[in-house]
Amino acid sequence: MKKDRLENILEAMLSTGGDFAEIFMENKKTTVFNYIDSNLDGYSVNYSNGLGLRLAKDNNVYYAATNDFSKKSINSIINTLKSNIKDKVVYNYVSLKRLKKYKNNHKTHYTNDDIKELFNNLDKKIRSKDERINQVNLTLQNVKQDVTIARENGLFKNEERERTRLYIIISFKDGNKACNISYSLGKTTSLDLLDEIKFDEVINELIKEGTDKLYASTCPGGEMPVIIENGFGGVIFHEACGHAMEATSVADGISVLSHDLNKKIASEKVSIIDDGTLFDEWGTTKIDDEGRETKKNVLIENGVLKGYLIDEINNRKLNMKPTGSSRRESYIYAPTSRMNNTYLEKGTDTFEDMIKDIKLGLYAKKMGGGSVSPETGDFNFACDLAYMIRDGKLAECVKSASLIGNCKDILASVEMVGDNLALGQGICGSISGSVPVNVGMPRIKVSHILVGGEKSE
Amino acid sequence: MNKLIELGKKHNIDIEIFKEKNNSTDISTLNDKVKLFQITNVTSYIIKAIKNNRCVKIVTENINDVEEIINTLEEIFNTSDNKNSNKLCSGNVKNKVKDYEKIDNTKVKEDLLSLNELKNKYSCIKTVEAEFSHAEIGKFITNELNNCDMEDETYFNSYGASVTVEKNNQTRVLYIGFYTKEYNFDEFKEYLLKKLDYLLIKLDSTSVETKKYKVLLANNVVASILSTFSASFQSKGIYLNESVLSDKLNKKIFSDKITIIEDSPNGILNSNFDSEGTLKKKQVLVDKGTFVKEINNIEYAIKLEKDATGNANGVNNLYIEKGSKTFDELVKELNNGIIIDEAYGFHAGVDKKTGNISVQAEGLLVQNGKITKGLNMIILSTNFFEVFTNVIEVGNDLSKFSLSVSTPSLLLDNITIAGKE
Repeated sequence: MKKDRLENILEAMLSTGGDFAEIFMENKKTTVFNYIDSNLDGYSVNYSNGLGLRLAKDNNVYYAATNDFSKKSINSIINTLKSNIKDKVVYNYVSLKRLKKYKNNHKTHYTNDDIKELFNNLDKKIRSKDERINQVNLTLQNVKQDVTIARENGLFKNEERERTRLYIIISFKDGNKACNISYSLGKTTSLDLLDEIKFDEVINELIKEGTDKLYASTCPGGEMPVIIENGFGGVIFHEACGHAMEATSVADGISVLSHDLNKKIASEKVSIIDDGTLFDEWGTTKIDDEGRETKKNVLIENGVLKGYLIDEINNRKLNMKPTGSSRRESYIYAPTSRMNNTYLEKGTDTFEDMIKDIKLGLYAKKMGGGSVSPETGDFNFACDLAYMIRDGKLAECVKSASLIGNCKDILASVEMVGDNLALGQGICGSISGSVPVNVGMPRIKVSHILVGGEKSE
Repeated sequence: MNKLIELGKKHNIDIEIFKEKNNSTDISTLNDKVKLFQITNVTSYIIKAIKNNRCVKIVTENINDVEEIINTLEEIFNTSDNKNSNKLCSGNVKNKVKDYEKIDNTKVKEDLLSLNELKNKYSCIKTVEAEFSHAEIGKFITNELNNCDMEDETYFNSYGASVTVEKNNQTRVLYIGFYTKEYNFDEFKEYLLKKLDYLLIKLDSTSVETKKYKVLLANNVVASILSTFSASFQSKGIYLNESVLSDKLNKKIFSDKITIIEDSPNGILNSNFDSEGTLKKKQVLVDKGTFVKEINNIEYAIKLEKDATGNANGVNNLYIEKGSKTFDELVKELNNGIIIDEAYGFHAGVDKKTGNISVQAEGLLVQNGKITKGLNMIILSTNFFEVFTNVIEVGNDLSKFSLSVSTPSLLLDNITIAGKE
C-alpha cells in the first residue's frame, strides 16, 4: 500500500480518540525440503500475505488481522476497532516519515538440484554407518519475511528477513528397542547455511548418541545434582527466568519476578543477556515488530535483576523504555515483549571440577523443550540425551529424564559455570505466537533439581 | 479461482482449490479490565495440482497472481521425487449453517469481567485472566470437474482462564481451556469453580516419594496424552516407522476397556469432509483395546490400498468411549492413591516414537477415599501404552478441554510418580 493510503488508515483508526495506531504488513514465503525414506518426499512452498491493525487508548488494545486488502474490508475492520473508543481526538492527522529500509543482502549458490544431491549423499552416508538405522529424515526450511510497520508517530520502516534451518533426525531400531536422535542448526541467513555445517563430525556424533540412547536404562527419579551441557541447555534459563522477565507478565504484576528489580535473585555466577543484534543468529532481527531497532539487554548481572524486556504498550504501564524486544509470529498476532537470543555469560569452571564430587547425579547432554508458569516460576524441561553420574564419573545412558523446578530455586542453585558458551535454536510459543529464538549457555552445574524417572535409588 | 484452473489446463495441470475462511472474535480480560479485543478475518487456500499422475500442493493466502502459482507448481513438480498419485474430488456436499449464533460482545465482556468477583468470595485470589473466542469457519472445494461442488460451514466457542491464588508465600495457578458449540458461559464457570476447589487445596502442597501408585488421571490430562499421540494413528507415520503404532495394526495394544472413535461430523468442530474432499464418517480406531483402523489421506490410501478416511488434516473429534462412573465415584474407588489433575510440557516431555511420557504434574493425595492434601513438584513418568493398558475403570466425564480430542477420566494401577520426598 502507498504511503498516503497508510496515513489515511492510521487517521481513520485514531478518529474516535485512540492514542496509538499501528499498521503491520507482512509478506512471507516459506520453502521446505523434506527428505525421508531415501527420497525428496516433500518440497513445499507456502505464501502468507496479510495486515495487522493495532489501535490503543491508554492500556486498552484493539487488534485486527486480515488478508483481505480491499478498501471495503479494511474500512469495515477500522469501524469495528474504533467503535471501542469514544474520547477526545488526540491525533487529527498522521504524517509518515520517509520509509527506512533494512535490506537482506543474503544470496545463495544452492540450486534445488544441489540440495537434492546433498541430501542423497547424506542419506547414503548415514545409512552406511550402522545397520540399526531404519530411517533418515532431513528437513531444510527457508523463510523469507518482509515486514513494514507504520505508526501514528510517523515511524515507517521495512525489514527484509531471511532464516534457514536444517534438521537431521536419525531413527534406530533393534528388536523392540527404538529411538530417534536429532541435530539442528538455524541462522538468519540463506541456504548457504549448509556450508557452515561439518557434516562428517555431526553424523559421527549422532551415531554415537543414537546407539547409546537405543539401549538407555531406566532413569532414577528424585532430587539430585545435575550438569547441563552447553548450547540448547540454555533452555533452562529461557524457561526458568526469561519468560518471567517479559513485560507482558511483569507489567500486570503477574510474574514471579515483577517486584525484584535490582534485587539479588541468582547466584553471583549468573549473568543473563538477551541480544537481538548478534550477527546472523536465529533470534536476530534488525528491528523488532514495532519498528524499534533491536539491542543488547542485560537482564541479570552477577545475580542481580537489572532489567526486563519491554514493548510499547507495556512501556506505558511500567514507564520503562522499550528494549526492541516486541515480537509476533505473523500479522495474525498483536506483538508483545519476547526474547530474541538469550544466553548465560560464560564462566571458568571445568567439567572435571563439576563432576568429581557428585556421588549420584545426572549429566544432561542434550535438552529438549520445556515450559514455565511465569506466575509461580515453576518450570519443566525434557532431556533428549542424558547419562547418570556415579561416584564422580559418567555412567549409563538413561531415557525419559525430565527436570522440574522453580526459577528462583534454580537461579540460586547454579554452583559452577563453564567457559564453552554456545547457542541453540528453538521456536518459542507464547501469546504473540511462535517465534524463532536462540537459547544459550556454557556448561553448568546445578546443586539440585528434581529429575523425573521411573524408579527411586 | 477459475483463472487459476484455466491457466493450469494450459500447462497440463489439473487444479483443485480448497478455500478456508476463518472469521473470529477474541476478547481477553485481566481482573476488572478488558485487555485485548481482536477480530481476525483470514482466507487461505490449498492448491492441489496433478500432472502426469503426480500430485503436489501449495498453501497460500493469495491466488491473485496465477502466473506465480503455476510457476511455483512447475518448480515443485521438477524438484520433488514424491510419486504421490492422487485424484480430484468429485463430491457434491453442501452443509451450510442456517443461522450463525449471534454473539453479544458486550455480554461476553460482562461475563468475563464477572469472574473478577470471585475475589470477593476467595480472598486468596490474586489475579484472574479470562478469554473468549468465537470462530466461524467456511470450507469450499472447486476444480475443473463439473460435478464437484463442496461447501461446509461450522462454528464454535472457546473459553480460557488463568487464576492465580496466593497464601502463606505459596502461589498456585489454574489454567483451563473449555470448548462449547453454543455460547454457554455458565457451563464454563461451573467447570472453573470445580477446578478452583482443587487449586485451593493445592495451596498446601507437598511432594511424594518416587514409586508406583494407584492413580486417577483427570479427563483433561488423559486428553493431553491422547492429543499428543493423535497423529500416531495416521498411515503415513506408521508406514515410515515414525509412529508409536508402527507394526501394531490388528494387535491388542490397550485394555479391553478402551475404545477410541473418530467421529468428525458430530464433534464441536463438526466437519463433513477434509481438504481433499473425502467425506468423513464415524470410525472406530481402537476397538476394546485392539488397534483396528488407521486414518489417512488420499495419497496414503492409494499407496497402501486402503480406503481414504477423510483425515488429510488430522482428527476433528477423537474420543474415548466413556464408562459409567462419575469422577467422585472414581475418587472413592481410588481409595488410597494420587489424583493427577494437571500436567504440563507434553510438547517436550514425550517421546512419540517409544511412547515414553515424563511430564511435570500437579495433583491431590487421596487417603481412605478422601482428598487430604495437594501435590506439587511431581512428575508423571509413564508410557502411552501403560496409560491405556493399566485401566481399572473408565469415567463418564468426557472432557471439553480440547477442540478435537475428548476423553473421560481414567483410574489406573501401577503408574510411577516421581517426587522429591
